[in-house]
Amino acid sequence: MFKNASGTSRIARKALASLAAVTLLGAGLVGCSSSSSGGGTLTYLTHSDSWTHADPNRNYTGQHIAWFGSYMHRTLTAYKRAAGADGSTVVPDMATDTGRASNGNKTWEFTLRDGITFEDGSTVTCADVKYGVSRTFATDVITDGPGYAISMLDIPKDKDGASVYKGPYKTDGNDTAAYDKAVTCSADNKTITFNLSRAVGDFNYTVTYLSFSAVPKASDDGDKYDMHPVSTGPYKIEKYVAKDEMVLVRNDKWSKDSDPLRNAYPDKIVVRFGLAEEVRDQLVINDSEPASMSLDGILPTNLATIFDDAGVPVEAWKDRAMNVYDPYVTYTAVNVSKVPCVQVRKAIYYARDFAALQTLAGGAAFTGDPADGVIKPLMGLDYKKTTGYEDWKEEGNAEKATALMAEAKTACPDVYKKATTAGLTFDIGDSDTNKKAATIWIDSVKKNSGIILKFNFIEPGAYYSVILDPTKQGDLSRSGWAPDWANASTVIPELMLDGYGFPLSRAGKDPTYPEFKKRAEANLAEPDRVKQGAEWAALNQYVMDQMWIIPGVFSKTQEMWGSKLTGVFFWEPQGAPSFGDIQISK
Amino acid sequence: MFGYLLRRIATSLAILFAVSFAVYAIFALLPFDPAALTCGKNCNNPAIIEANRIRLGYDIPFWQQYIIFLGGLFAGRNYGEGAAAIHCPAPSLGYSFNEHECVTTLIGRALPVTASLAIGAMILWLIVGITLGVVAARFRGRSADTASTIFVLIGTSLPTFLTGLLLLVFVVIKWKIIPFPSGNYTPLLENPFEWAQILLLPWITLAFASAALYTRFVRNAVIETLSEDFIRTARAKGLSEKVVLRKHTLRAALAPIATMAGLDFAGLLGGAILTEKVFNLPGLGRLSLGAVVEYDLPIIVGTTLLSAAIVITMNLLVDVLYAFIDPRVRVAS
Amino acid sequence: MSLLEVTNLSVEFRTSDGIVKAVDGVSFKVDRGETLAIVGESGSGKTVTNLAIMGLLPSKIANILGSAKLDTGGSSVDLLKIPSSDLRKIRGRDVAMIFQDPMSALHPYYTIGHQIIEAHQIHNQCSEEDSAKRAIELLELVGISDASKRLNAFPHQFSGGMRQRVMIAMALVNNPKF
Repeated sequence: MFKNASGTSRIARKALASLAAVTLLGAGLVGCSSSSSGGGTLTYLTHSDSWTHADPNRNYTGQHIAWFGSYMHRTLTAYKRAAGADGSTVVPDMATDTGRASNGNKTWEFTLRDGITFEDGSTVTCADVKYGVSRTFATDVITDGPGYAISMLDIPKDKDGASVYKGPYKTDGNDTAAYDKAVTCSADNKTITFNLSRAVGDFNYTVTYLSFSAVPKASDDGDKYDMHPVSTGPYKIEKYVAKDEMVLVRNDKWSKDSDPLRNAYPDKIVVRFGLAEEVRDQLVINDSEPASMSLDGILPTNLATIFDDAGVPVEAWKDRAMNVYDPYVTYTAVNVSKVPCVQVRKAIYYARDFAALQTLAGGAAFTGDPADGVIKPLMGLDYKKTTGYEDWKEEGNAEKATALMAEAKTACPDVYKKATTAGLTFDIGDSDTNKKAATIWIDSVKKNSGIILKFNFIEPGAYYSVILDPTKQGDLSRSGWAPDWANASTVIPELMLDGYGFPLSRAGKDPTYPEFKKRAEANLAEPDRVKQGAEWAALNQYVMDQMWIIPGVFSKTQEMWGSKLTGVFFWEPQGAPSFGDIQISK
Repeated sequence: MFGYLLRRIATSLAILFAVSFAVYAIFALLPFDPAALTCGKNCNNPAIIEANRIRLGYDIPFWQQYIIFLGGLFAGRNYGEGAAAIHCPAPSLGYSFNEHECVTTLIGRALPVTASLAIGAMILWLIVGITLGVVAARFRGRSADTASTIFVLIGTSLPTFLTGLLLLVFVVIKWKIIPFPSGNYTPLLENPFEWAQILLLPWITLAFASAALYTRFVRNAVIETLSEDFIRTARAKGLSEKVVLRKHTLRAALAPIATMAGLDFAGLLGGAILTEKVFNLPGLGRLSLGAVVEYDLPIIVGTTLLSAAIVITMNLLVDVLYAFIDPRVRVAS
Repeated sequence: MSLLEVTNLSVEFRTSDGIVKAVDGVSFKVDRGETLAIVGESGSGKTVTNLAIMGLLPSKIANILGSAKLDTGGSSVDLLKIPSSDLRKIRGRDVAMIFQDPMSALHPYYTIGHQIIEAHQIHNQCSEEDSAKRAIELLELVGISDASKRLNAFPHQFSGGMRQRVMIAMALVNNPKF
């Protein structure tokens, strides 16, 4: 998933969570089932006018998945609800296990548990999951969601590259038989089988996405389903009006017996939309609603009230705020096809005044640490600190940069000439902060290496469609990326290989590319997770050796909430709090 | 009079057609591709962008899109097929995929909110503005006039979003004088007390700047009128200063103010964007602003047409009102 | 005693450029039935003199000295010294003024009938019909034909000369002494 926000750190909230659980068990015991302990109304506050999407097939951000996944939508597998690296473990949700692979990881089978129902009491069957997955193929109606079903299922593509299966709504020109072959249900309608077009060793991670959840066909009305999705979880929608609020009430047809993962602590959950940013912040800062939490980041001007200079919450906010690493890495992609000179690319990295950029963005305490690649330490198995840049300095290393440029003059005179005379174009989103950042880049890089940078400010709404167009993309493009799930298979290939999701570095023609491509594609099919992880780390090093991207920061995010909430911890795989574990203290 | 009205209405309809056509034309002439801008995070693939273009109906020439739009006004409009089929009944202004709702419905929901806001604010600022303006003119040069000048300076300098935010943060959140609204808006007929409570601060915010402006206008208009010869005649007749002010001065001074108020009101009905954003009121301002940011053509066309219709209507009403006030302007009878 | 006796009337205006003396020690007498013509170049202070006597100059910038004694049938009253509430009772009833410029001296929004009736109603306790009758009487007096219909006409519907006549009618409606 790509970057809208920025920044994180590893705080162990597990201790807090277990303490809260003990306190609760000690409280309302007699005659209460565990699902109705807690109670109260939990309120979420946000600046947005509505959820980007409530439709499970159209959800793509970690926060949406964490929220709807906690309260409404069950999936075949899900992440363990735990803080720290433990939270990135895949566990069964609707399925009885984490999936059975065969046929060299090209066939995956999941069996549904008993007792899973929709909010109207009807049983969830394999057909409902199959129907849910089919909706992703209706790309003209069901937009914005992850396209993994389309890219992974064994369904042929037509000459334009689009799938021959067009989803459940079209009748003409729609090869529904192809879908029926790719996704099949057992005779008892409880086991679903996916036939993939290529080996996907971590498909059980892919199905943690809500786009692999169950949707009842009778309630599906296409685009409008976004306003009233049907729940398989502990809560259901009572009201959802944009610019107003969403109200969830208990789904009495949900049972803890069939759902080991979720909790149903509050009686009611409310999301207040459309709040002005300062108003939203002030409501939490003044504790106007002690059982509330902000869904957005904190305004930079309010950070000082909550955190000290080191980014640690002050005493009053000890249990009400967190400053943690989110899943994103920011970077500047170098268009290798336009800058085919590794010395020039490295010179930019050495010349840039990283420290000044950090100060501009609010300081390292809130914006994050300098990145050393595209993989973040919290990925665990896939991360190893990269080497070769021990002489990199935060404020820029003019000596090294100049030395590199001297090399470039003889090694790649054309690129050298272009970089030092006409200059290199740099794509970035148009904003006041970015304009200030641009000055820092231009000045420090020119001073320390002689390279001229020319910034191209692009309207934020149009940004990605411009830089993803190879005819429009500049020499350098600012971006950010978070893994779609806890495996760098969603980072390295996506960012570096041609034909994958986000190949800004356009390294296809580089002489070092074929070796890289071979290794990366082989690693996608590697069944040994530990071995796979080590190879991803090595490929990350490869990227850094060639400087196909100029690393930015391992970014952080800040959250805050009211004084009556407990059980809040940061759920690393989603880059958001584990909403389903939040309770209201008495 | 009847013929005059008919002619005005006919011209108005022609203007509305022209405005709607212009919006479609402008959208077609945009330097960037709205289909690429609205296809969300998956826009990394020309096939997906193209599918988005077809979904939104931008794949046909803009004049064809316009004709389909016109058809929708009279016969309603359908989108999609199968379970995903959508029908927007006449008069259909189209369907917004961002809001998942027919545009006519969205406008129907937003209009009463903005109307409540605009009417309440206007009444407030007219009362304050006219009263203070007359007092300032009457006691020109004295302390009342100076006080009103200070009020004018503050009111015209403070931007609405700042006034609104200050009021909201202090009066509601910090001092808790008014409770934070439990919902974003309550219709008048549902609960008048709650309706007024939610709108109180927005009315004050919106009225504040305008009251200051109108105080200055009214003051100047009254001072100017007071120097007219017919005021001297009135005094020469022996009328008391009170009657001179009320009967002879006010009516003459307020005629241009009425025109201004009418046109200001028309502008407000288009949506007091900043006030609506600060106070989270789901009015036309929020609707059109959101549509512009998201390149949501159907809503943009709908709200533009509505604004145009309101401006045209208010112009007509203001002309009629002015003729009512000033007999010199009346159509020869 | 004369109807109006003006003695040493001086009018000074306080302007930002200093004190401007518009009228400097004017004295004259007007007897009952007498018509006095004050002649002078434009700017010589003729209108100012009359405005001062009527109390129609803004008190903030005008400094008026001297006296203007009016014989109100029994006693004499100094128009320059009496309080404005008393002066208002005299204005339009005992003393009336017809202004030079008929175009702008009538209120454009009200009918001429309304304006004349208003002048009558201020100083008399009559019903509106009676005031209307008086107004018609005067309009006929000044030579406006079809007077009862013309009552409902607006000033802009009259020619300049007709408007002047309306002004005269309005001034005379209460039988002023001066």
